[in-house]
Amino acid sequence: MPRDSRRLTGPEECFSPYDFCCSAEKKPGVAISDCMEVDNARTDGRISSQLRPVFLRAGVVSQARGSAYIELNQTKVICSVYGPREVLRREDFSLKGQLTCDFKFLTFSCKQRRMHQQDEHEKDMAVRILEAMESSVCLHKYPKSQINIYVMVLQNDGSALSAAILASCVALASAGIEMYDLVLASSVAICGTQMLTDPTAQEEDAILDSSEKVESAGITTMAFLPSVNQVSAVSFDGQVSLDTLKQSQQVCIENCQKIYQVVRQCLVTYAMEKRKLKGR
Amino acid sequence: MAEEIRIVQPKEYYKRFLEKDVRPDNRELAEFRPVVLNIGCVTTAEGSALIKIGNTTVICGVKAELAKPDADQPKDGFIVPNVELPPLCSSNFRPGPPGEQAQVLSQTMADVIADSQCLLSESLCICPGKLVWVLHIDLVCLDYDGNVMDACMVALVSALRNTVLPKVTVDEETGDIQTDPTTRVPLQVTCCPVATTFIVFDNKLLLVDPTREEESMATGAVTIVTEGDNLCSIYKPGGTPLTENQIDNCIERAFTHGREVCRLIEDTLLSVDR
Repeated sequence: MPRDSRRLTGPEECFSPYDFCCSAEKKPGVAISDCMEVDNARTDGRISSQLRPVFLRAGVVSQARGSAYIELNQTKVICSVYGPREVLRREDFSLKGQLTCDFKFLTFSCKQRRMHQQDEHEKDMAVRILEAMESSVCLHKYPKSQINIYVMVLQNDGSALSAAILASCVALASAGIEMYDLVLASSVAICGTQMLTDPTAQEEDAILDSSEKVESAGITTMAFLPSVNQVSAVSFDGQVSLDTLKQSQQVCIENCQKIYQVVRQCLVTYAMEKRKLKGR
Repeated sequence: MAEEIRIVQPKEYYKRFLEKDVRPDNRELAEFRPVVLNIGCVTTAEGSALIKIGNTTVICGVKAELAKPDADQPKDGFIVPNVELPPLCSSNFRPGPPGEQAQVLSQTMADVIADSQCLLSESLCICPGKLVWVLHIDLVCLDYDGNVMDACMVALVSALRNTVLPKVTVDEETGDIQTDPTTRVPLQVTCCPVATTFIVFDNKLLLVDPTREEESMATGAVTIVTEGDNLCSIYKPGGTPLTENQIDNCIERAFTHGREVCRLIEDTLLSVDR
């Protein structure tokens, strides 16, 4: 890899200290069974269909047109929206507005350190967020201009994609960008016959790179437009039967509807605060 | 009406306020913005801190890794601070590699760590010539409303003070590395350097803790880094020349501010339990 001349760099070869733990606790929770305790309780004490508490706030970045911060226990995501602003390159000109998305895990946000440059996984996440949002934003109202969404994960403890989509949606709405509907998102991890709502990083890792081959395992994330009752994006990793997938989608939609109230409340609070400031 | 003047004639707008010794955000010329400090907010990092100075927000995370030391300095660990100014924090920044300002900030952080000796690279040695710690200190600006230098410095020191490393041992004979994640050792951070930034407005007035708007109108700036009763560095990147008196005045105020910030960090650290 070429050395980065614009950053301070350490030695070329670094390794995580946690790779050298005693074998018993080497990779905590890789076995799926480790994620489940007796009586179907999960390691964080939730039951399988329980969401983590959602903390959501709009208007956190003063310089941005719109912004949002979301916390699902230890998953923390910040998002800001700039625009509509002019398109920089002339060849990109179009009568329909353009939506762009930039997604980054901060270097210290995961268990293993991440690089400064955007990697393939992050680019893929950006595209997934974009696909979820694009169908909801009224792009024809913003000719010749672009709207930029920037998402950063401060800490990843699972369900980063759905947290990012929720944050983008609130940021876009607080920026006053015209949208057909809010975009809600939720994740479900499938493990055999179990459906784990809103999986943590430990559960995600266990399912995606599990050593013991399970019949069906995977993670479904769905973006849902609640008032028009349509699905804007589905992404799925893993291998399950079609029926299970359909079932998991149903669970996702139900969870989205639970989050709907939180998102609405957050936007109402933001609008009230803004009006109060203006009135002063 | 006032908002229109602010956009069209920002300098005139500011002058009218400053004539009456007050700033548009209701501060006096020598008044700092309120500071909120949250230490230990990211649990995936070995140490972390988030600071808000007014609207300006900076998050700092320390990630520790292991590496083989350089052959000519077998006892020295690596301290790698980097400041990111991502497009998320302001419309002035574009995606891509760090710009000039971010590079200057990164280098300043590295220089202050080296000059103040708040963290000695020898203290990061595990086994001389074989294994040392690498501390990747990443500072990310989340909201750019001026005075990022001061914010970065507080975040950096707080995160370092918060950092605990798992105990790592190297077997003398086999060279095997063994990590004990249950035993945690805090870093030996010996002192607490604090930066204080002043800007010069209209070639004469000194404003402390500038906002983004004030920074963009400044005719000069000076950053003073203090550490307890010692002066650590003075950074004055060109601009309006200052008299000796003015510099002395700045240094004096920087010392007072430095002590206040140190106390804030200490108090916040006490309220954090790991």
